[in-house]
Order: sequence, then structure tokens, then C-alpha cells
Amino acid sequence: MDWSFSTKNLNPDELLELARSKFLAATALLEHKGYEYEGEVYEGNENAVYLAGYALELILKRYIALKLGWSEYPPKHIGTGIQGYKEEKDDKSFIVHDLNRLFILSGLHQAIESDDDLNSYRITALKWQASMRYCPKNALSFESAEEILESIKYMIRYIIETI
Amino acid sequence: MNSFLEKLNNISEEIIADKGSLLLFALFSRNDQVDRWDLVISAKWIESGKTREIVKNLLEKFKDKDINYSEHIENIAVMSETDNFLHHIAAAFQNKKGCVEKNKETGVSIIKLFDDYIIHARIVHEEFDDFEMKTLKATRASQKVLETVF
Repeated sequence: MDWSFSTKNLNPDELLELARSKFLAATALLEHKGYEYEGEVYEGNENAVYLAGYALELILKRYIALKLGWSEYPPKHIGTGIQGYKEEKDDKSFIVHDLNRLFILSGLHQAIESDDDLNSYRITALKWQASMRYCPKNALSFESAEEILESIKYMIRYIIETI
Repeated sequence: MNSFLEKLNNISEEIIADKGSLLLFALFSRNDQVDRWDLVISAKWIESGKTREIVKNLLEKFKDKDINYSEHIENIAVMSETDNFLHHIAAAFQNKKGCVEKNKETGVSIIKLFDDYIIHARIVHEEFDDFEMKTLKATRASQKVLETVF
């Protein structure tokens, strides 16, 4: 049973809405300098970055869907074996959380790498990894989180404007 | 790879001449795959939250020296001296928690942490002799912190 309430693959509009929601939550968490629960202070910096990284992931997936003319990401025939494309059943190329790979799949990486300033934002954003879910509480400083969020925001803007 | 390492060595010397010191300049294997590396740079003068400019400077140096860095490395991780990862690596270099063994044939260093956790690295420069470490607990969570970077 999938408890995520996600019953279908997402279309580009839904990906954009979800990305916006994740990034706003990340920003709110950082701006409020975390939270307090039962007397214990949680800075929340790592959680803010964790959410923001997913926003960038969703925007990259939206970009790929739009460029490839997919109505949803990933299309049903990829990784599922549906629609008779059995040979693609095990193809997980597009079902990843690796931002570096998603930049490559989007075809944006070459243009980004040719611009040092833009690339420095991308590299800083790549400090995010899905495995940040294991990051212990208060492990990331506010300044580091702020810099990563700023870089993620910059890359999101760039990708949206590039479409 | 050897020519790339030589160029990295020149860059590390340039940075030391310019800034005075470097704590760590090294390639770390990504998810322990021998052909996938991340470049890690750390120094006392690197401030937390001000790492993007350092990335930019490095990219400019690569361009000046005609180095296609993406042929050899997947990412660049810039760390301030407060970063937990750096302290775990320093503990291994100081033989306090873990140890470092260099394979003379391949030039690859095997960094052992927490008794059973191994990272492969190609160390271009390290200066951990006088490095003051924070107290770190060698927990499973610490291992996960390392995995978040690599």
C-alpha cells in the first residue's frame, strides 16, 4: 500500500505546484529558525534543505517532461511495463532522486557548465541528496542551509525561465 | 587520472600560496565506486555559508588550466572547518578514531572510520597535524552523515 496519496504520475502543472509547496515550506522552516517541541530546540536547517532539494528535483522532472512531450512524469510505459513496452519494464533511468543525473537527463548540464557563475549555483545545490533524510538534527548550520537554499532557488528560476 | 592529479596538485599549491593554508584537498570516491570521484576542499579561511565563491574560483582555475574537470569528477564539495565530515577524516589522519593506509602502487588512500566504514580517497594535500577536533560520536547516524556527502 502506498500511503503517499499519490495515485498517478504527475503532470507538469502538478509537478510545479508540488515544487512550489515544498520550497515554500523549506523557506518557512529556515525563516522561523526551526521549532521547539517539548522543550527541545530543533534548528531545522537540514530539514529545510531536505525539502528544498525535492523542489529542485520536481522542477527538473517537469522540465524533462515538457521537453520530451510527456503528459506526466514518468510516462506510464517507463519502468512499469504498462502499454506493452515490456523491454522498458526495468528501465529506472528517469526514476531517480539524483540531481546530477537529472541535470544530465534534462540536457541542461552542458549549458550550465559553460557558465562558471551558474555552475557554481548548481554545484552548491548538489550538496542536497535524498539521503539527507538521515542527517542528524542540528547538523547543518543556518549559514550553510541558507546558501544551499539560495542556490536551489537560483537553479529553479533558471530552469523555469529556460523552458 | 595521473595528469589530472598533477594539475590538482598545482592548483593546491597556488591556493596555499594565495591564501596561506589548506586543510584538505582530495578526491573521495563516490558511493565507494573506484571510477567516480568528488573533489573536497576545506580550509580554515573558508566560512560556513560562503562556499559558492570558492566553487566559482575553482571552476575559473580549471578553465584557465584547460582542465575538463567533469571528465574526472562528479562534484565539488567545499567545507568549512566546522563541517562534521572534515572532523571524521581528521580523526582518521590523527589515528584517534580510525586510520589511513595508502596503497603505494595505486596512490589510493583507504580511510577507515568507525571500525567498519571505509572511504577511498586520493589525497592531494592534507594538513591535519595541528587540527583541533570537535568531539564526535561514532554512531550509525555519523556514518549516514558521511553518506549524505558521498
